[in-house]
Amino acid sequence: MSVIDVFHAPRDFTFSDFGTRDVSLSDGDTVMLRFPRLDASTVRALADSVRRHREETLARYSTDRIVNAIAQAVELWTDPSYSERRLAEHLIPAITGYDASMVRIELKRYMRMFRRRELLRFVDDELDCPQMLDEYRPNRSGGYTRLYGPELSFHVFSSNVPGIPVWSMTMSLLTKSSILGKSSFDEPLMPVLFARSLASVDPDMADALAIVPWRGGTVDLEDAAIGEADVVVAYGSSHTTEAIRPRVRAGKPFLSYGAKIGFALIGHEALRADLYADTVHRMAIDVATYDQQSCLAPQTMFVERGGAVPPAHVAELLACELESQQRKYPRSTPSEEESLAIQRLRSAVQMKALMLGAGPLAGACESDDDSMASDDPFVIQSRSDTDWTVLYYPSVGMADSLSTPLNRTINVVAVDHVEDALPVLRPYTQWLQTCGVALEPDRLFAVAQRVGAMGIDRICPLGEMNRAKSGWHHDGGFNLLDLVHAVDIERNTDVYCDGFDMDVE
Amino acid sequence: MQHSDLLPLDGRVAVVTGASRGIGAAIARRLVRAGACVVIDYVSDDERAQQCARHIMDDCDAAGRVITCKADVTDAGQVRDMVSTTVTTFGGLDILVNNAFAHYSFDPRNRRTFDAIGWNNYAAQLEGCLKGAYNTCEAVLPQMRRQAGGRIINISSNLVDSPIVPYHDYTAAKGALVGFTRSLAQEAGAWGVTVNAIAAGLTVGTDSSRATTEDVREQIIKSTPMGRLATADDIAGAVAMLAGDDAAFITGQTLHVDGGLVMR
Repeated sequence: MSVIDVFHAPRDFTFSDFGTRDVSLSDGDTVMLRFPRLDASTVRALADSVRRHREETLARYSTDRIVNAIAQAVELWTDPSYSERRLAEHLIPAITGYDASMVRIELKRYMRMFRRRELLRFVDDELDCPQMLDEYRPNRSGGYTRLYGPELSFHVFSSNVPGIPVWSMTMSLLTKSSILGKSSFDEPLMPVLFARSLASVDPDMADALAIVPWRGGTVDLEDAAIGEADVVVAYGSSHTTEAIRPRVRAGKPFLSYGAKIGFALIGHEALRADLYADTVHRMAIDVATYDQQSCLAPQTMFVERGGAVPPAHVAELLACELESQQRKYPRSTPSEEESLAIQRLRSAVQMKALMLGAGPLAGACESDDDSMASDDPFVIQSRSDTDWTVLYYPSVGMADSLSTPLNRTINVVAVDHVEDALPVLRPYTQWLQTCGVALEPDRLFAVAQRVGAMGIDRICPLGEMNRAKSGWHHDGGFNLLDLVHAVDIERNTDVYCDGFDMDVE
Repeated sequence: MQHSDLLPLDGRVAVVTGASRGIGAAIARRLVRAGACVVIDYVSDDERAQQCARHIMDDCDAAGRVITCKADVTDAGQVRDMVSTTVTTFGGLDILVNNAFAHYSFDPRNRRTFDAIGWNNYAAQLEGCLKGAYNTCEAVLPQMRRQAGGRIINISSNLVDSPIVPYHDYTAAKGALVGFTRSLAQEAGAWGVTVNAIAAGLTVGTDSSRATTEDVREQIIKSTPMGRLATADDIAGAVAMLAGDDAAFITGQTLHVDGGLVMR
């Protein structure tokens, strides 16, 4: 049985005690994941170590140098035979339960978001003068500004989508921060593999990183890490992030990325006879990718009437597409609790349909003209288990909740105009994030104006909801600016200081 | 849902049009034997239809799994009522077999030559075959879409590919049915519905083939690799195959069930 270390620490740091976990692979093999057993003092020592290494490396590096180092590490991942990539493709499906092909394709796409040209986008998008991360540069008010990143950031990584830690690790590195990362046992691998890639490119720089897994909610370890860090970045369920928030002292930056609800707005123009099949395919991809576990994924899709196929047919088509996705990328197995929630929701909507006199047989009673068809709620579900579920509602008022139990469970809501969907989003403001759109260009910006005002912070093409682009202002915040603080040399300070130059008159 | 090998269509619901006799009755029997609930559609003879249903139920030990339903497939209203009855009785509709067609006699001696045939003859055949299939498909598709799947099997003829005797009107209508099958398959695939056709060879023991002369039969047999004519059970077997799970990925096809007379 092979042993895989799921931790990364500076080369001169040694752990004394280790624990292990076995993971069974699809080919029948078992691998042993090894990780250090920690106490609060070890966490503090780790923090101290990466901070010291940062002084020698990141703190002295230019932003260009850091960009290049990350880019080289990421470039390794574009090689299908790269050992860490192969390890990720082999082990992550076994650890997470996600389909292996889906993991392979999504990870490949994801890592390409951090190639050099994309890293420049992250930097240049937010900073008028990226060199401000390196030195004092003239600002617009006549003085000079330099941006300082935190000495140490503490990251709480989530396990829902493999690879997400790469994003937050990269942002911290670009601000020259050392990193103490707490990974999840549900997916401890990817942040460690990325740290190893960095180590192979610049071992000294990688000594400013430590990644260790521990069980979420282990308060003494978390408090030790929070206490050491200058910035805390937490990913995970709202439960996770809210448990950490009160323990971060006031004034210490705390960035949290918790649960969100994604929506899609599908205009009638995307349901033209020559387009509807592609539109439905894109809808299915958004639902199937990572089983809606990503905060980017849709939970309710609003479909406009007036296209070549009515919204009810779109729901039926989506059901078939989800069945195809299930054959292609089988869903991971949800927990008992999640399965029950799906079953409960199915029954509730079926019951609602029955109360309205529709029932499961409504489909057969349609009249000649589809637009005249009886339009009642219905449920289409996978023949086996809870693999996928489409819940159709003929009007916005009929859906009890716009969120679903996930795991490929999607609401399809018919609207006369996509704009009709906006008022019902209001109660969800704090959960809003991604909005997938299939709209003609004239409507794109009009709708964007309105959804932006409601709390949506990402508008993207239908079919790409799970693939945020580099530079996206994650949850409406700034990737780099939220991590740094600015120091200004005020206007005239330089002139005043010139007065102390013996040679100046 | 897993289906046992013994009852591959267990729990499925089928409508077979023109099923009180001949090939239709054989198809109904075969689907019942495979575990399906079957609606026997017929157009005129109540007595014969009920007798057919009774025989099938007795032979297959399938009490409660077979009903008869009188509906003229050329009448959209009657077809819709039949589909509605099917769904309320059996709780769904998974398989549609379009077997009904306007009465025709394969009589080589008395066939109408092109000069003698009128457009009204073509129209009658198109009405029975193509409009009938259109009506039934139009009525069952909403249900199949809601179930995220279904099987439609249209009974055509090998005369489309090899008109040994040129029964112009009949063959033209069956050819139209093949085009109908392919085009519908293209669109219905997105709903998980397969649409296929069976090109049946001359089938013994049916009312339509009774007038076929011995010399034509012999000529067909001589050209058929399997050395015999089709039986209604041969056609029924192919229908059962296309209705089963093993044919889940077959659509838009025309399966020749004629002992190899036509090879494509």
